[in-house]
This record gives sequence, structure tokens and C-alpha cells, in this order.
Amino acid sequence: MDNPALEEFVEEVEEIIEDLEEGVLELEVQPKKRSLIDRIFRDMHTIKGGAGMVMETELAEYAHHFENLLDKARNGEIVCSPEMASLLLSSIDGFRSFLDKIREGGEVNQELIDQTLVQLKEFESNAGKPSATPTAEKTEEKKPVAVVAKAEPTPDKKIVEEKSPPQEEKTAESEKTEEQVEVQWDDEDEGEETAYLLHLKFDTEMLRKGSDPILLLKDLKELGDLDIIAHLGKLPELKNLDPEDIHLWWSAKLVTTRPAEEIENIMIFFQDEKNEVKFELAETPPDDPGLASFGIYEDQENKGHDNIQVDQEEVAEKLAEKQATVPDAEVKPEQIVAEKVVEKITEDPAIEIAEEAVSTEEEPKAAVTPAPPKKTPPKDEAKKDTGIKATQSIRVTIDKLDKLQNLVGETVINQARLHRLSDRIMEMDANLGEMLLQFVEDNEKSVYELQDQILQVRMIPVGSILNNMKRTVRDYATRSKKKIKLEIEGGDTELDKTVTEQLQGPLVHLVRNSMDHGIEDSETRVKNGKDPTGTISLKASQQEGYVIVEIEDDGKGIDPKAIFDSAVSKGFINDTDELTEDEIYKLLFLPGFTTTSEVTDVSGRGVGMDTVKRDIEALLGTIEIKSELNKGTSTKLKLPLTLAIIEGMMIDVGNQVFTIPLLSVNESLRPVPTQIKKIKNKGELVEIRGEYIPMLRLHERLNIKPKYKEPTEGLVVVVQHANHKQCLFVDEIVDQGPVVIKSMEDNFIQVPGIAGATILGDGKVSFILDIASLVN
Amino acid sequence: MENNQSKNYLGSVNLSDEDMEDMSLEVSYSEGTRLITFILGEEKYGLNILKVRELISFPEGLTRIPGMPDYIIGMFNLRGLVIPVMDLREKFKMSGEERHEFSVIIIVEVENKNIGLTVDSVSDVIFVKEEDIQETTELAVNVDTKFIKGVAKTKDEMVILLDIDYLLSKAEFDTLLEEDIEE
Repeated sequence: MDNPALEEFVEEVEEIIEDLEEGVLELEVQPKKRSLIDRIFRDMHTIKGGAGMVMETELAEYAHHFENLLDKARNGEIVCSPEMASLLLSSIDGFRSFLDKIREGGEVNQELIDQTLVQLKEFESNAGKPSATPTAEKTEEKKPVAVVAKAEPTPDKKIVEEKSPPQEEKTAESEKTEEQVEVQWDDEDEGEETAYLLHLKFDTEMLRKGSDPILLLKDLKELGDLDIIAHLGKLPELKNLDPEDIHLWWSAKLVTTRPAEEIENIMIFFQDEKNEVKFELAETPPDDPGLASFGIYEDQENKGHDNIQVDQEEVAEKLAEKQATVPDAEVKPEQIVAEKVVEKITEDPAIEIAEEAVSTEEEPKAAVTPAPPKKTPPKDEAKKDTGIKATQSIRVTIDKLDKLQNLVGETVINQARLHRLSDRIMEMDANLGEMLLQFVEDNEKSVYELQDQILQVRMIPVGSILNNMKRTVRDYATRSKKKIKLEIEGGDTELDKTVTEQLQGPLVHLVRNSMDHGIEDSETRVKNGKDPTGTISLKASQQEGYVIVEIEDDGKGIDPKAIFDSAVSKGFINDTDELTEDEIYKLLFLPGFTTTSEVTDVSGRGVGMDTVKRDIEALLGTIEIKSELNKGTSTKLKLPLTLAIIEGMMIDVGNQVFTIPLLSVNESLRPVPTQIKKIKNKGELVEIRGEYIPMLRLHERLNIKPKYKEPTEGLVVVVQHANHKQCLFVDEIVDQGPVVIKSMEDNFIQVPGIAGATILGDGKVSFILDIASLVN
Repeated sequence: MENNQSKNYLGSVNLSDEDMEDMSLEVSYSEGTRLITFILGEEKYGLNILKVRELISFPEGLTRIPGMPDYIIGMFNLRGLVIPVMDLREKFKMSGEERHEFSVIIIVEVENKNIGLTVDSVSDVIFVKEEDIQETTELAVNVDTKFIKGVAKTKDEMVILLDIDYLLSKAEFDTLLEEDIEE
């Protein structure tokens, strides 16, 4: 694919498809959500337009069919049903096939394309007839809807199709239509959304008493769409400010399907004489669920009037501009947190260099906000708007970043050389040396900062791949009789792009395992006193320089005894062995352990867990399983933030320095002669605290003439891979620290026993030993 | 293509007579190749200049790669890239005497990989016309003919054309691992 325009198109469509997929999955849950249909329609329309521009007419035509369908849905002629969602999802697979064709040449999967088009046709013709709609109630409602929609389809449709500017008008119009359509769309829906206005004022002393308003906000957020605005009016001047006092108070609009009692139940903990925590039904109808809107102008805010009625009106006028318009300087930490809670996960899969919003661009917008009533655009739109303005980004190929990283790595090495040089100059001329040292140290700061920044650029949120699991879970749940809910947390945790991409495979595997072997069918679950819907949760977080991804299910769990028994029957262990629970779960990762159906039946898990483990280890990560019978299973992945840098231990063998990943090193020691045992056919063993560990003379393996011939003169480094420990006999340990990994394959080939290369402080190349191959 | 470039070059710059004489060859023929020539043992070799990334003197710190045959003499750091070096004398099993300190490394780029080749010395950049290249496989040279593309005859000398793409191909590199196993 040499055509840059085409390349760009493919990348764009890939992004759109992801948004589309997510939109459809959401629509399945909330079929009457107008803004979602609009979003999906827009996506479809963009694909069609783009395809036309790059002369991919077949693709354009394909998209056109589905755009038509969505147009009907928008006009209320069709109600989105699970079948329609399935149809749209298979259209997404169709798009992917087109993209593959464009990218790699070859043919599209015509069978798939035709099949989806046939399904589409069937669906459309059925949807026209009342009999096809799932419930009788719905069909009765349907006809009037169509009439209403037809009564004024023109203004609505026309305006929506106009690309962007007159959004206010558009939404004003479309809302109107929407309300009418909506009312008649779905009155069987028990979860009607209601909007509440919340008024949250707390005791100034509250924080000192160990409570925190954020807790309340977090709880409320669980109930539905929550828009929060912080009132800064009571903020004292800085010199009078006591950070332990609460000076802020909050207004919020909550759109929820839950009954009012639930709000009451949460608030009750915060209601006392000194707190003013109350809520009321919003006077305006809830509009679109995403429509919560209100805001406060800074200037008025500073005057500190506390007439809440006025505030709420302003609030209703303003949120069009979204939360971010409050200038940073005046945002209290609490509010930032509150906004973070509201924030959704970023989903851009492409690596982007994001510039923070140029505040000059943002601020006037906030200040200029006209007071006169302005109908609020749907939140989705507003979000997109600010999204575009808030971050400016450019697309960069990963190649360029790699090159940049290489250069930075080189600069770091030169910096070390410079340091040594300045030391030598110091010896000769203290004055000159001092001056040079000063410079070198200044430079060092920038160089390390540069290195840090370049690594940052490669980071993307893991949310993109966690969200991909939604489709996996949805498809599985549709096919099987199980009910499964997927929860995602911490999607904004960032990870190196390469790591993120390579995490996808293992993640799919683990989620499938959970669905297949973990979660029981609804009947069994009810019998065991569980919620009929099983839950799988994906949580990502950052801990101590690692990213932790946890896959948890509330299924039937794995019985350690069953694992133990089958491990014994397979001959992996003896039945006299005493293993801790952790050790037992580790057996699941043994290759071959999992391949027999007998084991998977018993353990209920583990097909190809060794592959998962290998993949994770290739990413320099670790994997851990914990399980409780009938409660569920949790798999924890610990991954380095980046693949490019590891902590290494530099060792010397015959004057050649090798690097061992510190992650694999258990300990190092100089053995005494009695610790070394020679056993026929088994080679040499080192006895360490009662444990006999096989020893490898590294110099023999590497074919190097060593400085010391016996381990009692040199050192033994104990390394571990999986469950295997190995002693490596080396001359000495030279250094320890972070090293930048370079692939051997970039300019050469994969060499057995060597995982990669790195450049040491003196500019020389050092090879990173492949511990896995040395241990086995 | 290079030839076209040189034409443009001529069109825009005033060159001395000497230059003109050098260039005359290029201007008068439309097809041909520019070669970099180097000495290895007693013969002169050439390789397409487009494959050459740069020339460097023998690096200070070369790190041996464990398990590799002798002609892969190690890897070194070229401005952040880790590059392997192949000793051509060793590879072609020529009698070797004192060499490395004075030898030159030609960094070539083949299949997106940068690889260093040690040669005794680099002599010249020449231009050869297509018809001057003899694609002969039966040559009385010391080198295994599978690495030879042919011979180019210029005014007063003969240059052996190395088949660098084959010499440094993936298939050829893969044999390194087999040799290792045989050892």
C-alpha cells in the first residue's frame, strides 16, 4: 500500500470502526438512546464518504446500505433490536475484511459481505411488518411513531446531515422530535430515566472528621450520568485558606434510571445538622440521558451569591461548554478529582502526541459564553467538541519514534562518556574540570528528561484493548446461554504501545477462559445463590513502575485439589509432594498439563495457559492465578511500563560483559567447596540452604576463556525462569542498572541464548542473556 | 537513475575539464551502475554504491557473539545501532595476516539490515556500463562463486562484483545457526 491517502483512510476507518463497535454494543443495552444512533450514523456516514474519496466504491456502497438502515432507525421507522445490533456488528466484520483487502491486497471476504447484505435485506423487510417486532406492545406503538417521525422528518434530517456548524439549532430541533418519538418509542421500558438536581454543601470541618465529599460523589456517580459543578464562591483568599477546611460546595445533575430511594440511601450518611445535602426532581424533563447541563460563570461565582435557584438556571444554560472551561488556576483539587471520576476512558488506539489545550484558546470561550438561553447540544457532541479543541495531536509512525528513541539512547550513552571525560579533565585542571562538570550535570538533566519524554510519547491507554473485550464477551454471551456482564476499570492506565498490542492475545484468552470455564450458566448460579448474571471485570492500574492488569470472574473457581490430583496422574508431581496453594496454581502453566481434556474438565480451566504465560513473559511480565472455589478466579498480570528498558545486572565472563535481566535474578553468592556437588549425568549442583540447584558454567556455554576456573573463586548467580532455578557461574558482577534493549534481529539474526543487546556506558555492546533458554 | 542525476548535475554546475573527463563516461551512456571498489587480498572487488551506507575505520570495542562462526567477528555500537561485522577475508577463507587495525569497515544496508564488512582498503568509486559487466560464474578467483555476480571490466582493470544481496540474505544468515549446531 504505497498510497498515503489510502493509508490514512485505512487508519481513520480503523478508528471509526472501533467507535462504531462500541456504539453498537451500547445501543444494544440502550436501544432508545438517540445520541447513540446519531453517533453510529455519523460513523457510518464518514466511512461511506471516505471510501468514496479514495475510490473504494464497493466499500462505499456497502456502508451506504447500513447508513440507510440507521437513517430509518433515526427517523423512528425501525426500533433498534438485538437483531439489528448483531447485524451492525457483522457489518463491522465486513468493514474489517475490506480494510484487510486494502491493506494487504487480495480479496475481500465476499461470502461474509453477501451474507450480511442478505441479512440486512431480511431485517429491513421484516422490520417493515409489524409481526417482526419482538413484542406485541412494541408493534402497537410502532405505527404512530412512524407517523410522528414522518410528520416532521425533513427539518430534523436535513440539519443533522449538515456537517457541523449550526449545532444549537440542530439539537433544539432534534430534541423536540426526539422527545415526541421517544415517548412513544418505548413505554414498556421500566428503567425510565429521571433527572435530579443535587445540592451538596458540607460542614467546613468535615475533612477533619475523617469524612470526604468525594466519597459521596463517587457513590452518586455509580447511579447514572452525573455532571458536577463546583462552586468556588466561598473560597477565601489564599493567605486565609486552611487546606483542611472545605470551602467548596457542589451542584450536580444526576440522570438515572434508579429510584429516588437509592439516592436517599446514599445521601443519608451525609445528612446531619451541619451538612446541607439534598436533592430534588429536576423541573425540566430528563432529555437525552447525556444531556445533563448546567454551569456557573466565573465572575458571578466570585461574587459569592448563594441563591441556588439562580445557579441552577445558569447551570442549565451552560454545561454546553462542559466542565473543562473553569480555568485551571481556580480549580480545587477536589474538583479535579471529581471531574476525573466523571471522565470516560480515552480510547484512541493510535499513538498520538497530545498537546495540552492552549489555555488561551479555551479561556475566552468560557468567558464569552453568552448568557441568553442556548439550547444545549447532546453531551456526546459537546464532548467531541471539547475533545478536539482540548488536545491537538498528530499521527506519527512508530518507526519514527523508534528512531528518535535510538538517538536519545545514544545521547544518554554519550552523556556518560562526557561524565568520565570531565573527571579526567578535573584531574588535570581543577578549574576547567569544575566548569565542565557543571555543564555536564546541567546537560544530564535535560538528557534524562528527554529520555523520559520519549518513553511517554510511546504510551497509550490500555482502554483501547480492554474495550475490545466488550465485543468478545457480547458475542460469547449471545452464543452461549450464559449471562455475562463485563466491567472495565482503569482504562486510562498507560502502557507502551508495543506492550499494549501484544497484550491483546493473552487477554482474549483469559477472558474466554473465564467465560467458558469460570462463569456458570444462570440456573447453576441461581442454585448456588449467585446473581444469574456473571461478572467479569478487567482492571488496570499502575503500581510501582509496573502496570497491573487483573482479570476477575465470579464463576465457579478452580479446585486446587483437582489440579493436584491431575498433576499427579500426569506425572508432573508425586502424590507425596507438599505444595502450597500458590504452587498448585502454578502447575496450570506447565506446558502439556493443560492439553488433556480430562484436566480441563476437572480444573475447569487452563487451555493453553502455558501459551498465555509465554506471551506475558515475552513482554517481560509475570502472571499469577488465584482462585476460590465457587467464588471465582482472578488472574493478575504484572507488566513493565515499557519494553524498551529493563533493569539489568552486568556480569563479567572472561572480560566480556553480559547482561542478565534483574527480574530473573534471585541472588548471587560465592560458594564454598562443600556446597558444590558433582553428580554423574546430572552435572554440577550447588547446594543453597538445603536446595540443590544445577550449575551452568557460563564460560563453557559461551565458549569464552574465563578468569576463574572454579566457582569458589568467582561467583554464582542464581536465576529463575518459571519454576526452574539455575546457577550461573560467572567471574564477577560488574554493575547494575537500567539498560536499553536493542533487538538482535534489527541488523542481524536471533542468536540462541541471547535475548537482545544493549549498549553499556562505555559505548560497548553487551548481550542480554536469554535466561529461559539457559535454564532449560 | 543516478545517471540522470549526474546529467542534471552537469547542467547546473560548471565543472573543470578534468571533471568532465571523469564524467564523460556517465554522460554518454544511459544504463549502468556506480560501484565502490575495495581491495581484498590480491583482488579488487566492487559493490553497488547504493547499498553502502557509510565507511568507518575499525571500531574500538567489538563484542564477540557467542556461538557464531569466526567470520562474524562481533557487534559494535554505531551511533545507537547495534551492528554485526563480517570479516570478508575469513568468510572467503583467504589467507589472513595482520589485518583488523588497518582494515576499513563498509557499512552496507541489505533487506533493511545494516551490516559491516571488513575489507583491506577502499580504493575508488567507479562507473560501469551494463555491457561491461560479464555475468560469468566460472572465474578464477579465490572466492566461492555463489557470492559473485560477475566481473566488470573498466579501462585498465577488472573488478569482481560481489553479490551482496545473496551474501547477506536471510537464507545465508540462517546457515550461521546450522553451522553452530554442527559445531
